[in-house]
Amino acid sequence: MSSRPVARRAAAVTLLVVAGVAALVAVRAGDGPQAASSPAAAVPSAAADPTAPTAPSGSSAPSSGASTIPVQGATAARPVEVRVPRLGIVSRLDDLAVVADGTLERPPRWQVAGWYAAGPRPGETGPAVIAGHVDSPTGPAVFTGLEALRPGDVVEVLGDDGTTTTFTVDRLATAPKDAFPTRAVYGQTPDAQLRLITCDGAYVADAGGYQDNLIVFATERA
Amino acid sequence: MSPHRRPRTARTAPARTVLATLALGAVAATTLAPSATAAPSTAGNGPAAKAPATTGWLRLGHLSPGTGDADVRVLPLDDGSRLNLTDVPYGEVSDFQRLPAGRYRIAFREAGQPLSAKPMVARLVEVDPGSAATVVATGRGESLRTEVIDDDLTPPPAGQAKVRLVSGVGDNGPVSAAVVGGPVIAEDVATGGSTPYANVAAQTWQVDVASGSDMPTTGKVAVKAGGVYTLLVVDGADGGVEIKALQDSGSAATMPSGGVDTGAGGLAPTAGAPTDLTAPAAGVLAALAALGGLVLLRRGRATA
Repeated sequence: MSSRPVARRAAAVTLLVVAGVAALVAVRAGDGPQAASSPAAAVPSAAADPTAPTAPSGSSAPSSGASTIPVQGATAARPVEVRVPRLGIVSRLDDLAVVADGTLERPPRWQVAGWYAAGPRPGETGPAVIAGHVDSPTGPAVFTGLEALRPGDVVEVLGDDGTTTTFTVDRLATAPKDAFPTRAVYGQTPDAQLRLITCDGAYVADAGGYQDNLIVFATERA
Repeated sequence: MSPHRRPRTARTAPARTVLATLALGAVAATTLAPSATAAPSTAGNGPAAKAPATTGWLRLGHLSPGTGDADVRVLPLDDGSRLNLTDVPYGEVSDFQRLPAGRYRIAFREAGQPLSAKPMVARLVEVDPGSAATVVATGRGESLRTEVIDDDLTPPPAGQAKVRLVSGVGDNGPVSAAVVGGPVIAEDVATGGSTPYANVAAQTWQVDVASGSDMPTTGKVAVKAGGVYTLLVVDGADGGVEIKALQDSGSAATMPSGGVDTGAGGLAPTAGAPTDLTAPAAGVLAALAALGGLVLLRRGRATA
């Protein structure tokens, strides 16, 4: 009779160990991208804070007394969250940088979008760029379903000052990653625009995964 | 340059084309700051796969010293969008508004005047695809006129910004400007005149502006790499000149190359299938095993 509780306890411990291992497997499978591949080192950003006052190099004139002139169209809050109401997407934002091979860093977390922090802020003149994963190794990710966006749909970006900047989708484009429309995505615009980028096309495991990018082009709603 | 006093002198000078660098989308203009309303007359929402429409950008400014607030009306002669700006004060330039390419009639009226009233000044402009232009009313009295100023949509050299000057100064005389420790931006620019863009390092610059016999006016302007800027000089409230700054265009200081790695295949039709079930299955197993273990432990305690 006394052996029954011992056997039961042993079975319980075994099951709990199995539970622990299985839980670990589950967590590992849902891990961020770095778990799967080595992240490239981030290149230090050239302009750390372009708005910070800097003394002109080689200046002999006194700069005291000169007032700061606000630049129309040049200021917006630092983005902390992106929302696509029609698709139910809400994500905090990680900062993204250009990595050693010259490409944009892959967003470090499957379920969190990233903002290219060396580019314009959403709401500033120029194209702000936000990238997010279309899927993880095991299932959906932050930008799953982004291809369902249509012109006229709304994308909102929350700033760290609590303000929301609203963008309207202009168009969607799909491009092979090796023929990416760099100028159209990152290049000069005279108004405040936004790009959402995720993956698209065929998934070829031994050829870098997804072959295409889906790009959503949007413009700030005045 | 001949003054365009009569409202219908419009065909004189269409906006020249700025190098088209961008292929952008199809949504028609909405509203224009300040206090503007717009009524798009074309449907801008095409299917997602549709090629980008041919659009350009326009912004409008009141640089006519001594002239009261103005209402600005932009009316398409082709398929396009109409715009209304109301109560635009002297010295103000709107943000850029994207419009379908084509011809537009731009009329400046005294604020509050009906659309049937004769404009103070008007002209035709051609909005070219991928181009940006600033249309201002400038001069005063008999020389009140419009000017079309082309805006630059080409990126500055890497790590730099571009700056130019536009003068809306009236009584104070021609404007000269320099960035301290940097290039001369403008020399003797008359009212309504503009300079070419000058390349400057991306930093905060001190700008000295001289006009007529007045003491130079000084200000600090922060410019970012990839940014293109206009220094707008107008008559100030105190009799001197005032410096304003506008951003004409912006881009990422460093453009990443190639595409972005934003997926791992978990939802891909073929490759994703085997791994798809790993996490859910492991999770379920963990939950069941934990439950079983706890039940056994409790029973063990209960019977012990």
